[in-house]
Parts: sequence; C-alpha cells; structure tokens
Amino acid sequence: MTMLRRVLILVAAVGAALGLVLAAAAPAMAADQAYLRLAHLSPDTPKVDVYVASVADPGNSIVVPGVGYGAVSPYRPVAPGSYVVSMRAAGASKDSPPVISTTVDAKAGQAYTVAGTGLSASLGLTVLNDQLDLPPAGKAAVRCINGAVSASAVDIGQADKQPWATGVKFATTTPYTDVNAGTWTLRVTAPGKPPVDLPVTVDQNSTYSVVLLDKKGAFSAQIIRDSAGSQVAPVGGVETGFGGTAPDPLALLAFGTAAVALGAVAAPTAVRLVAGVRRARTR
Amino acid sequence: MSRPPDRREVGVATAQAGAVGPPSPVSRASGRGGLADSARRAGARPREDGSAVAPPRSAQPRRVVRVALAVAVLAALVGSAVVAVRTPPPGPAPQAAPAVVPPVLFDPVAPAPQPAAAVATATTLDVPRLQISRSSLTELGVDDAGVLIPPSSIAVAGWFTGSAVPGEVGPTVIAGHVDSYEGPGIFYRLDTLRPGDLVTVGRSDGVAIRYRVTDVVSVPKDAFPTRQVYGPTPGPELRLITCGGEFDHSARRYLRNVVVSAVYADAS
Repeated sequence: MTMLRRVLILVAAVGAALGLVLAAAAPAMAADQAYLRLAHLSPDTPKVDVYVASVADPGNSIVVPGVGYGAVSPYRPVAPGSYVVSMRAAGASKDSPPVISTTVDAKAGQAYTVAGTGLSASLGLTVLNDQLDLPPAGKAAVRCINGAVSASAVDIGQADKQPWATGVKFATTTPYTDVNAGTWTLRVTAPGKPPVDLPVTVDQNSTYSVVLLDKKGAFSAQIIRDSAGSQVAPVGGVETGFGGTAPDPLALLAFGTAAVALGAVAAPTAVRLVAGVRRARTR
Repeated sequence: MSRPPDRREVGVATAQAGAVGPPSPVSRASGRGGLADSARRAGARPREDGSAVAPPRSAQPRRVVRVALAVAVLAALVGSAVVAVRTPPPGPAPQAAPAVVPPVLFDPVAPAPQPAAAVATATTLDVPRLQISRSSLTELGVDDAGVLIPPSSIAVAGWFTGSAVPGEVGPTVIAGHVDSYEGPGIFYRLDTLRPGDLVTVGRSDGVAIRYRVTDVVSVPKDAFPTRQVYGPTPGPELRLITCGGEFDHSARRYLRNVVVSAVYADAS
C-alpha cells in the first residue's frame, strides 16, 4: 500500500464521517411552538369563563374569566399538542359541566383562534386555523369573521371595487384573501343596511381578520392583525461565510502530495532509524 | 392586561359608534420559572477545532514508524495551514442537555411585547451559549436583487432593518458570518444552539427582549425556507442566520444556511 493510497483512504474516511455527522445534524424544519387565541363572538351569550387545558399536561390549565361578546384575546404561545377549550357561564364552578367544549390539536408552527360562535341556543366553538403563509410581495392577507347576527350575509371588499367575498353568513369565516398593502377603505355591505366603511392600513406580508360584531342593533367592523412578517422578504439565503474554517480539498491534496514527498524522504531515514534501534536492541 | 397584541396594529378601529370592547383580560395563571436556571446552564461549550494528528510514540512495525514520522514532519512543516478543518456540529449535545423552558400557557407576562419606540432599532446581541455578550449589531439591508447583504465584518452580527423591531410582532432577523477566509466568525458555533437556549436582543431604547430558541436547522440555500424565516408570525420571534454545510470551493460559498428560530420569552 502506497503512502498516497493510505492518505487518500484517511481523507475518504474523514470525509464520510463528516458527511454522516452533517446529515444527522440537519433535522426537518419544525418549530416546537404553536399559538392559540380565544374569541367570544356569540352576540346573545353572556360573559363566559374560558378554560384551556393541555391534554398532555392537565396541570397546565388556565381560566380566562369574564370573557364578553366581541373579545378577541392576544395570541398565546403554547407547546404543540391537544388542548381542551371549554366555556362555562361567568362565575360557574369549575366542576360544573361546561356549556360547550372542544379539542384543539395545535400543531407546531401553526396558529389557531378558538371562537364561541352562533347564537346562544346553538352556541358552537369554532377552531379557526390562522394563516401564516407569506402573502405575495406587496400584498396582505385578510379574512372576514362574521360575528354579527344583524348582518346575516355580507359582502366585503375594498370600497368602490368588486367585493372579494360575498354572502358571508353570520357565524362563518372566509378564507384569507390577498389584498393590496397600504391605506384604503374597507367596505362591508349587508342587505337593507347602510354600508359600513372602515379606513384601514395593512402592511405587506401581514395577515388580518375583519371581525363583524353587533353594535346597538347595527353591525360594526374592526380589523385585527393576526400576524406580521418581515416588511421585506429578502430573496434566497444569506452569504455569511468565506470558507476559512471549511475543510479545504486543495489543502488536503497538498497534504497528500507533501506526505508522499516527505514519506519518500523520511522512509529511508525511518528504516535506518528502526534498523538502528533494532540493532541496538539486539546488541 | 388588555393590551392589543401589538402596538403597530392597525388598531381596533370601529366603523360605527365607538370601539368594541378591548381584548379580554387574560388569566394570570402560570408556572414560569426555569429561565435563569436555563441561562446558567447555557454556558458555552469548549471549542473543538480540528488539530494536528499526534503521532503515536510506540512504533514496532516499521510501516507505522514511517507513517508516523511522515505525519509528524508534515504537521510540523505544513503547520496550521492545513489543519483548519471545521469540526462538524455534534448531533445531540454531548453534555447534559440544557433545561428546556416550557412554553407557558396563557401567561400574561410572557407574550406581552414591550411596545417598541417608533425609532427603536436592534443594537446588541447576547447569546450565552456562544459566549456572545453585549455584542453590537450592525444594520443590514438588501441589494438590488433583493438579496440580504451580510455584515461587512465577521466579528459582529447584523439586524435586517426590513424585519421586525425586537419585541414587535413578526420575525426579527439577525445574520452573522460563520467564518472569514482565515478563521471563525461571530456565528461559528451557531449550530450548537439548542431548544431552550436564551438569546437577548437589546434595543436602542434600552429595552432588552429575550427569546427562547425553539429549533436549529440546516437548510440548502437553493431551497431557502423564506416563509419560515421571513413569513408572518402571530408573536414576536427571532431568527439567527449563518452559513453551514459543504463549502463550494469553486464558488467560494457555503451551500447551506443554519437558521435558529426563537420565540418571545420576556422583556426587561
């Protein structure tokens, strides 16, 4: 076996080991984080206490007391997993049977709105999967959550343009629609009602919910930001290295060549040395 | 606590009479803790730079002697020029895994982001595990092609000014070099961060935002996960980016990026 071959084998083995370790260190993209938010969108349901309990860790249970119609909580980061969300009348014992409950399977990297929806007689807990996709450049994503029974079916869009959603019924939610980022007037129209205009400013790469609520017999609109992205999304990856600490194949080749050269020089010396040692030993 | 999720919000504007009720109060229940503990444990690990092969001393067969001699002479001659072989990132952390701070469920303290002053910028970075302490941040933008321009120095990281102000809803993006032509850069060991590690970004208004690492991934640059890095998030998050993977010597560039994702922990 030549010295060169030996060096090459060594280089190959080290390379293979590097490759294996690098492969092992590249897990799939998955954040260990989900977001949950609560909303009360049932016009005739009095205030409720909302319970959120982790199925995996029942001790990790909390109560949000006295949640009234129209309330939308901020998002809370939670560990991915199943959560039981229950509503009880405000002040009711935590041991009393809930008015309603549902289970949310919160997945990593996702966001959810759990909303009490519909009229009290048919109260439901709706789990909305909130979009976290990056809207196209220059766009924001907006959806409509109709929590106003006085607006039983609405059209929604930018004023003086074709509405992007029509006939949105009470207790339903539209998918997100990409809209122009910037400042403009949002218009919501319902049969037999004066249109409701809402001046809005929406940022690109952000997502929003327009929430419709009953307000003194009429309906109102509010816009809530669901999530925000980078104002500008750069193209591709980032060039953040010059290779000074990377294995250098040229250097390795130089190493190999030098090894051979040195081996050629050193070998006879070594042989003589060893022979000398042996001779010394045998003497 | 009935603050809307974030100050930059368009506002809970109401079209007709008056505002609708503010967001509901959220419960104060909670089991926080472990943060300081985790910070303590998040000490840096010893660097494992590649180093010269130590020649074996004992040498009976002459072949071994020959190899050993050759290697020894070589190591002495070629010296440091050859042996800058970057240690690959270890799979699981060899030492005891740092305590993972569990995400807190509906803790009123945790996710209430400090409203950023309109002019606030990201100014300093602390990454205890990497022994980065109060390191100043430069500001980064994009070039004409829309590509993020990396910091001009390898010794400091930079905050992408098109990303969220630290503590605001959205991803705050910080990039730093893994190395120069000659040696390690500020994010040389970025891939050794582990879920639960804490990273603090200081702002120009004196507020410090602490984030908890949720994952560390290596991604190919030609399939860069733009959505996961720059896309919308419901809360304040942080991304730390550097280079990794194979180095393409002809193109003089690494083929992968290492991306650390973190979520809001607290502010001080």
